[in-house]
Amino acid sequence: MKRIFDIVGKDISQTLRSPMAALFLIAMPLMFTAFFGLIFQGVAKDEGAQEKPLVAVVGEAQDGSILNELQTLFQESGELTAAVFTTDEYPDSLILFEEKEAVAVLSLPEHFQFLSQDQTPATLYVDETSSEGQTALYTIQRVFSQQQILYSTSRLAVQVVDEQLPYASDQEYQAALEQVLAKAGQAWDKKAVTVSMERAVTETTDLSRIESAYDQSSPGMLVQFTISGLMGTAIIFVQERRTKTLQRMLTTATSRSAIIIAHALSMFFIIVAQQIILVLSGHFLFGVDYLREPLAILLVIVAFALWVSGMGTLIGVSAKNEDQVVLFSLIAMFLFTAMGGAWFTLENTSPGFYAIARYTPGAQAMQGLQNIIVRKQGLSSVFAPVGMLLLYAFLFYAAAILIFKKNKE
Amino acid sequence: MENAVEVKGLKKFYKDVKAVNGVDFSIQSGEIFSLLGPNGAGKTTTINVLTGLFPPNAGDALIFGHSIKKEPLKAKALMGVVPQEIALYEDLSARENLVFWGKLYGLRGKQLQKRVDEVLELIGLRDRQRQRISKYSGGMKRRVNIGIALLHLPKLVIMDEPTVGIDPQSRRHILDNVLQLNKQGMTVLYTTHYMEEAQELSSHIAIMDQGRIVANGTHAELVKLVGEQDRVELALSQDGGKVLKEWKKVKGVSKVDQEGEKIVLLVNDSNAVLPELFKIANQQNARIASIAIHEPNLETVFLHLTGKALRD
Ligand SMILES: Nc1ncnc2c1ncn2[C@@H]1O[C@H](COP(=O)(O)OP(=O)(O)O)[C@@H](O)[C@H]1O
Ligand SMILES: [Mg+2]
Repeated sequence: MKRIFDIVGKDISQTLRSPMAALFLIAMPLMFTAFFGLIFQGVAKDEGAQEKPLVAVVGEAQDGSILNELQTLFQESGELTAAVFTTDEYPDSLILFEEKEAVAVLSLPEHFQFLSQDQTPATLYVDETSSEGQTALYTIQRVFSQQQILYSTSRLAVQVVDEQLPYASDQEYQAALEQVLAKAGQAWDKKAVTVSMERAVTETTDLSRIESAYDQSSPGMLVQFTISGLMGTAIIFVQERRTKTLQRMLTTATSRSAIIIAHALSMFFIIVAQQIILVLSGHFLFGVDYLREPLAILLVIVAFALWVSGMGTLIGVSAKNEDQVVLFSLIAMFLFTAMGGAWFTLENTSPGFYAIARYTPGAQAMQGLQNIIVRKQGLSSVFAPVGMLLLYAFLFYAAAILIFKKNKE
Repeated sequence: MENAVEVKGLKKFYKDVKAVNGVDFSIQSGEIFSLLGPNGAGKTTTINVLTGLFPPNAGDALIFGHSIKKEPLKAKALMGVVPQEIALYEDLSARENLVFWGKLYGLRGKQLQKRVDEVLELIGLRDRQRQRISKYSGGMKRRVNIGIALLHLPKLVIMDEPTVGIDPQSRRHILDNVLQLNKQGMTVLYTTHYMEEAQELSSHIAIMDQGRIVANGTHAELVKLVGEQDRVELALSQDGGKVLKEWKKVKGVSKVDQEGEKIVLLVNDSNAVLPELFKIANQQNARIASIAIHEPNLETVFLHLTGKALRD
């Protein structure tokens, strides 16, 4: 056991001594974070301003007040923009999807009002499979249920009063109702009771919600350069075979498995340290909010490092020489970085690519990190990606062990 | 006394190469034992099996009584191995290499640092210990390569062709080190294809060829196999007709010839005979002006046993 850590110590000092190490492990990822951040910064800002999905509210011109009320309510939700159209202008309201790039169309029947039992219900057209559609659906539902609660409780209150102490006239009844409604509305706004709802987990990063482009480039470059960062240590496997230091170790009382375990551990430690430095730099240099959930970020980092070191071990035991280590590492880096959505958000890719790519280890790491820094979710939001990463780590280690056993024959 | 090494019926085959094909020898504790043979004889393969790098196809080796098959860890702990190829971390300094390997040999703390200092002193690299190995000459690398095997003061040091491809000075340094270590009580197993080294260093020599030991014994015993005698060439300061006559009578002298100025004697054992020869010359008031002893060498022995030269 002690010997394992002796080898780990040797590996780490060897790896860090290489002039490429500091460059590859830390300097390049920071440079590229800044670089991609600057490139996409403009894009993110522009899109961010107008990117709130549009809901088209369609109804009869005579029902203007309820249409405007809904528009205001949707706008106030902060999640949507809303625009009002009349059925005269758009007899076929579905055209609005294309013409106005609406993500949802809410079509109101004539004389629509909140809380009327005997009316045709309003119709909501929405694409539930897109995350914007989901946002619209959720927001609209919330607005409606809020209004329904307001109206029904107010009406109930006024009815109760009316039974005890009947109002003189219908006008008075109506005035009282409006008064109660207004009060109830204010009370709701004061949030005496706060109903907090976490948004359903959306699978990928939606660029529209990225406030700073560093929220994409920082975790992206972290994923990319962690994968290429394994190279320096993976190369030790083949170096030791070539220089016969491996054989020499075996003449001391050190077993082959201990040597493999030591190299895997070295990679793990180096990668974790690298990621911690990158996360702290991301937080303090680029303002990426990693530290709002430090434990969650740590979990993702550790799980990701386990997978990367598993892959490094696999490369180390299968490569015949140093060139192959570099080649395999670069292939792995490009493959898993591109598939992982480290350069661009996966959401903007074709559905076929997206369906596969989202489950790759790189994408899982990105998701875990961005659940915290972009989607502002809690600790539990990283459990699924961390679980997936651990599974991948297990698979890659298993493959490495199989190849190692086979080569030993 | 317990044997340091006992090799019994050892066989190791690669696919179609019988690299080691039934090898037996034993090394007494405290001696320098040479395994002499040309390239490809199977020396390295024998060493690799002995040091537990891979298991033999047949046979076994005991290191101070511990079977390398059954008790590899105990056996390994007793030996220091100098591999034929330089096995060092080029990007680490000599000291860092020694410290790392010392740890793998189980040394720690103060004792480790002390042994590293001692070994650096021994291999003469104290002044350059902080330099990276990649900056070293071939000879210096060889010395570090050897030093590593000595760190844990093993009872047995196994050296596989430690002097291949280096300058004469480093070579001398290494041979002196080997003799010095042996004086301190280390048993040494030394493989080489230089017969001069085997001859200078070892009390016992095994000659290996094509996976087998073809002869095994002390240098004298091996030479006797060929039946050749020492050839002593000398010159006298004055005419020595009487001296030559007396010399012929000495036990162990089989032939005395005058070849011009040179007198050539064939003797069984020059060490035993020379004092007598000098005494006789003295009695006759003759001075020996020059003398050269040509022992029959291992080259001749190898030629005799295998029908080919030791070095191609
Ligand atoms: N790994 C190997 N695979 C196949 N053949 C080998 C291997 N190592 C050595 N040999 C062969 O075994 C024989 C003995 O080699 P070796 O033990 O290295 O000899 P020496 O050390 O005396 O030069 C040679 O014929 C060599 O080609
Ligand atoms: Mg050899």
